Amino acid sequence: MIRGLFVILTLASVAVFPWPVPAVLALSVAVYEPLVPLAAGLFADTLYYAPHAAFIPYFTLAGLLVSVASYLVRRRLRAGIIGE
Amino acid sequence: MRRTYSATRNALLTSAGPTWGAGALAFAVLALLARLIAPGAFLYAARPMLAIGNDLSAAGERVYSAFADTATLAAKNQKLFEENSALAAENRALLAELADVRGLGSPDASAKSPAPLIAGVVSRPPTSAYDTLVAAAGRADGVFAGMEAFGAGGVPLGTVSAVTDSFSRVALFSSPQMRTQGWIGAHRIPVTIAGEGAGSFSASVSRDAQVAAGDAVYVPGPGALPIGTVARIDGDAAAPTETLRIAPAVNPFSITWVMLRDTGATFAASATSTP
Repeated sequence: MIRGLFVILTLASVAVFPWPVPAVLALSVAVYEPLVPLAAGLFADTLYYAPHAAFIPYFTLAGLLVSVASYLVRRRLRAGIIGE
Repeated sequence: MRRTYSATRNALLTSAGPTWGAGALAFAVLALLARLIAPGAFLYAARPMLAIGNDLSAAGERVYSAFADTATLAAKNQKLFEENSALAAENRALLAELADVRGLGSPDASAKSPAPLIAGVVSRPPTSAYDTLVAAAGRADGVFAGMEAFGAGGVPLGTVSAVTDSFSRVALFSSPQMRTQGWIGAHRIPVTIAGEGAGSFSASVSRDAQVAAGDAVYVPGPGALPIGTVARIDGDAAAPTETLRIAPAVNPFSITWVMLRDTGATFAASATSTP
């Protein structure tokens, strides 16, 4: 349940806090939930991305990179220690 | 030796059922679909959250400024008061001069251009990433992609880059990918002003240009409009160019309204009307 609260807090922080706050939260939650950084990045770009402000949706790409890294770490390490 | 875990185990879905992460991703994808299919409704739904973000950032700024040195704040306040008085006097003189010019029967350019639109700001930096604004005026109010946004005092802020029926997104000139042509100083030295995020800009000029800290930076609009001032000059003494760090004339963290106007000077042709 605590894990769920942190996931909700991460998504909510995208809309109400400057981007470093959700970024730190997403990195923290990524240890347990690898998909959360991707979700947070996608949600940030959904809310704020505008043509001409950026060539590519950086937050989605950054979230994807962190999610992939988290996935690889979890795959290599004993998932039972991290996630259970 | 008996293995205690499976190497092929799915590390994304750690339990038998859907995880919180999968739920979060599903929510983000649904939000993206909502923005693509019904952008106006999406922004209506997100508006309360974005308003909370604006309130929190304003409260944070107040708390932060409360820790500032009171002597520095008093000196800054005095300086601002003096500048404000000088500007008010200058403004009165200009208005009187304008009235005289109109009295002579000169053509009034502003009478020909359509009336500007005033729009409230739903989302702004620092909460809004990419240095973008969401303004509460859209296609139904007469907004179209390519219009220019101005802040208090007619300071140019950015350009409308996407429009829905009720909202519009403004890419500020300080957005990291924005490049704007402008001038610096009394001699109007032409420069390309690059957005650096968080409202700041930078520009590169030749060392021979003799630009000094405090010089005003202008962009084209109806005339040359001030967008900021040179705050610092960086560069190696041996290099032929130097980098100017430009502070904005309007703090984007405290913008509560914008004036939208068609100046015809921006990238209207390349701007989109997509969400």
